[in-house]
Amino acid sequence: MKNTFFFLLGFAIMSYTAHAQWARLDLPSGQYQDIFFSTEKTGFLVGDSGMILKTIDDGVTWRKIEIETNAHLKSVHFPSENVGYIVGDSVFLKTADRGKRGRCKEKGNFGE
Amino acid sequence: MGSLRTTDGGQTWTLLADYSDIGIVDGHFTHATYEGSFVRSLDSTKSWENIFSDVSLPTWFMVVRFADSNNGVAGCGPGLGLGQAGFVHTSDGGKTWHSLVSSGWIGQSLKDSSGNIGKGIIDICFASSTIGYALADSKISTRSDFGILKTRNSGTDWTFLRVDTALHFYSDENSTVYFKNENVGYIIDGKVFKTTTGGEKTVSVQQPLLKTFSPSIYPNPFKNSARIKLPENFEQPQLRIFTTAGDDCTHTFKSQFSENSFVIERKSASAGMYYFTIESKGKLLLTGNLL
Repeated sequence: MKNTFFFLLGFAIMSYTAHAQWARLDLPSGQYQDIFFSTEKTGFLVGDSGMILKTIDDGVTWRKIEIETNAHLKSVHFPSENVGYIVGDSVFLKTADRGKRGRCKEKGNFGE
Repeated sequence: MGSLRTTDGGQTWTLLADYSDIGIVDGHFTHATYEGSFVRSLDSTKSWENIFSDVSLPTWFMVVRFADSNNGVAGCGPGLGLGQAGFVHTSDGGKTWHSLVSSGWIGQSLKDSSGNIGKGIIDICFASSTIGYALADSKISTRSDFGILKTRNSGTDWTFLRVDTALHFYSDENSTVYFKNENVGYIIDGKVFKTTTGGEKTVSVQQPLLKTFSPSIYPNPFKNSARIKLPENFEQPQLRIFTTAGDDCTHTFKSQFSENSFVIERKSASAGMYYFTIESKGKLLLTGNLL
C-alpha cells in the first residue's frame, strides 16, 4: 500500500506540466480585425490596409490575396461556401466563387 | 456604425438603422442592438419593437448571438457609465430577456487606471449549442490576462479564461473572438491568436530530463518560504508553480534564484499542495511538489 502511494505520487510529480492555451500566429505585419472559415479548411483573415489572407489548410499557412484597395477591412463573413462579403471603411467587397474572384461596390477587388 | 439589408444576394443594400449588431435565429427571427436600446423584428426587419428598455440595466449593447433557436445572449456595457457590463440572456427564442449583470465579476472594474470606461462585452461566438465564448473589453478588468469568457450552458453562466500575460493580448471594441468548433478558435486584437484546446490549459505527460533527481526542498511542508536546490548549474532556469488543477499560479509566489537555488516566498498563495516545474532553454529539467 505504501509503495503504491509513493509510486502514484512520484508519477504525478514527474509527469505534471501545463501547456499554454493560446499561441500567436506568425503572420505578415498588420492590424487584423476579423476571421471567418467558409469550410473546415478554408478561412479568411482581414485587416488594415486592404489586408486579406486566405488559408486552405485549416490555418496552418496563410497566403495574401491582393486587392486594389488600402481600406481598413473590418469584417468578413461567408453565408455559404462560395459567397462571401467583406466590409470596411467606405468599401464593400463580395465574392461569389470562394474568394477566387470578387467585386467591390466602391473600389478594389476581392479575388486572387 | 449602421446595418445594411439585402434581399438580392448582396447586389443592392439599404441602410436599416444605426444598429451595432444583428442576431438571426431560425432564419427569420432577427434582433438588433444599438446604443440605448435593444430591439427585434418579426417581419424581416421591416419594423422593429423595443424589447429591453429597463433604464436601470445596461444601455450599451455591442453584440447579440444565438446558440440555438431558443438560447441567445447579448453583450452589453456601461454605456454612459450609468449601467454595468455583462449579458442579457433569452431562453425562449428572444421573446423575453433577463439580465446577468449581477453575476460575480460583472460591473466591478469598469474603469481602467486612467478612468476610461470599458465597452463591456464586445464580441460573442457560439461554437456549439452549449459552448460559447465572449470577449470583454480589457478595461473592465484590472488584469490584462482576463479578456475572454466561456459558457458551457448556452450563455446562462460565464467564467473568465486566463490568457498568458506574455502574449500581450488586450481586447477593445474592435477585437474579435471566433471559434470553428469547441476546441479550435481565434481571438484578434490586431494580432491573431489561436487555440486548439478551447482556450483552456491542457495537462499532458512529459518526462523531465533529470529522471533520477530527487528535488532538495527545505522545508517542505513550509509555512512562509522554502528553498529548492538544483543538482547542478543550469543556464537561466525558469521556475513555474501550478495548482493541482493545472493553473499557473507562479505570480502568487515571490521567487529569487541565487547560489543554484530558488528561494520562494508565499505572497497571496493559500495553503495547499502545488506542483512546480523548472525549465532551461525550453526544456523541462525537473518537477516536484510543494506543500
